[in-house]
Amino acid sequence: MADDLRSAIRALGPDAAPARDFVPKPASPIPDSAGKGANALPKSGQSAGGDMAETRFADRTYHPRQTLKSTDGIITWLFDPIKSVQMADGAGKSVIWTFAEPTL
Amino acid sequence: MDTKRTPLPLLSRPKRLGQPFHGLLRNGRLTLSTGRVIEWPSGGVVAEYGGRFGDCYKLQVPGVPPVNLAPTELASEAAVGREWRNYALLLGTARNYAGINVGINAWLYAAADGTVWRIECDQLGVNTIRPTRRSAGSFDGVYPAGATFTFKVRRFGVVSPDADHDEPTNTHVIYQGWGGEIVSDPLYDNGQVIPLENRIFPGDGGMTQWMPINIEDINSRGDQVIFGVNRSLEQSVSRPDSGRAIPRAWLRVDVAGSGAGISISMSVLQFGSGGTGDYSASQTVTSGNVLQWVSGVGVVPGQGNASVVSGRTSTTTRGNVVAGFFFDGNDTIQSVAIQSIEESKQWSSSGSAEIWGTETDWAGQATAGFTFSNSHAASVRIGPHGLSLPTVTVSAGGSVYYATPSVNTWTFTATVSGGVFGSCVISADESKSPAEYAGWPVPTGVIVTSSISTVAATEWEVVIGLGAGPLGIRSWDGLSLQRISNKVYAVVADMGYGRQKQPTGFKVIAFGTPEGWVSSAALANTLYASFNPGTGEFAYSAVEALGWV
Repeated sequence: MADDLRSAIRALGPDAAPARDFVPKPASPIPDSAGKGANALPKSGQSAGGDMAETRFADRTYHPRQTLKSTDGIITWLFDPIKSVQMADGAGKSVIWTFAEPTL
Repeated sequence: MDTKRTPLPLLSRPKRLGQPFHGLLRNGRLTLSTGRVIEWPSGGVVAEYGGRFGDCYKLQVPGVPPVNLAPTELASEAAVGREWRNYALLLGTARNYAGINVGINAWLYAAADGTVWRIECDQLGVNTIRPTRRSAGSFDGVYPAGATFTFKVRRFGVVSPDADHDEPTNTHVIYQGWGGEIVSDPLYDNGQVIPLENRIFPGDGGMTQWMPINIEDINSRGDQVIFGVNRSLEQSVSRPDSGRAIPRAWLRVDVAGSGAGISISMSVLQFGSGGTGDYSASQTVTSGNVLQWVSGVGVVPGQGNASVVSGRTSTTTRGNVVAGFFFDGNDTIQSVAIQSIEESKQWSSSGSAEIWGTETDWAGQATAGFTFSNSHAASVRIGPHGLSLPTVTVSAGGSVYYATPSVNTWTFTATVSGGVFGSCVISADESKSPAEYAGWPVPTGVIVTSSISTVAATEWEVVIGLGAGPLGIRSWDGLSLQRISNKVYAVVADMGYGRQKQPTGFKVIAFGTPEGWVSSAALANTLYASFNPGTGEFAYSAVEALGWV
């Protein structure tokens, strides 16, 4: 049955080269060594993770001052929403968190 | 500056700010609709003044929009006991807002631009205005003609990263007179003491007395304030140990502008009529005088020198005695007053008299019968709302027989009805003066005005009286008009001081609020009352100090 099919297919077109079997070559053996992660270096500002700590309080930045009044108009709350905070990871790499301006 | 920045949690979104807990405080506790009870924070000051919660001031800041919550949010807020309003209620004499005492010596002013300011006045809530003697050795004293008021203004309610809201914005110093001379209570230094109910000024009833100035009421923006000159801080029917101050004048304070441009002015709203008030009397004698002897030298024997009254009327009216002022719901100044007090008498008598003998040796006899009736009507008014009080009527009759000018017999019977404590009958004769009748319900203060031994005048009179104390309505049942809070006044029968003796204590006859009078037997034992100028609600209690937040 299979031979019949092959014959029929060949009869439909020019002769095709017969398929070749692919046999990979064996690889060279890897020498013995200690295992280690070989992560790529982070781009600037990207953290490698771990504990995060704010570097300097004074480096915080703020959005423009906002005002929220109590519903009765008595209390006026003036506040400066945080815009960015500069952090450093465990490796001392700097990370800046930037926050959107809150909407009331 | 950074250390004062307002912390805003990073993941939070400010949505709504305010004081969402409202209702009636009972002894300083608010029960929410959820059943949760909040112990209202008072900063210690309100409690210090004996639970003076009765005052309630509405503050409406211009430009503040209504709080429009969706029905679902309204329901969810109510489910946790919260209600958001676009106005504030300030509680008690210290004007407590959300647990913050503005102070008994200060109030809040809302400027047209929506900013809120605390205005403090050094003359409020102090006892430093004292009288001086008119002259050495005299009990008569007089208070200073005015005082210097220092007002300090600064922003209120600003929660800010900056420190520049802490200092007074501006200071105003104003000298203001009362509008007339204010006479002190007698300055006794001989051991005499003025009874509590008769004191006009608080003190010890002797040498120590003062004239406190306190806030009478504030309008809903705080740009008009009434100062009561000689107004004490009580918030109940109870009389303070030092006595209840009766205002002698009222000052009006007006505030305008904003920030450094705030201006303050003062004027006299009213001087007097807080005590002695307007008084008028008339008397018509249609025929002669009462049955009368003219004794001694000069009497011509055989000539009857007696006359008989055939009719006499007497009317005394005391109207519009002002007990206080308040702002109504439209911020219009209204007064609270004893509207009118009348005593009218109708006399009739008949009799005869005969004198015989010589100019130096004479005798005579006379007989007379007499009747009189007397009615005593009174009413009170708070703003446009009047209340007529029960009229006391007296019907009396009697007879007298004079054997000589100094020997006589007489009988007297009177029925008094219509007072707060009901009717009673007074009977007396020459052997027992009405004043000797003691105990309830027989009056002890019946005044016999006849001076029989020298002038045989048939003038027995049951004195109903215009009332003890400057704001007394009627002595008979000890009625007076008293301020309970900035929006509540009470007609109180002081049972210990009425002529018709009752067990001592108070009996409230009616409470007046900006919306009218409440009068029922259920009020009798109440001490506390408070009116909510935001909602119009009114509450009273016999045992719990009340106040709205």
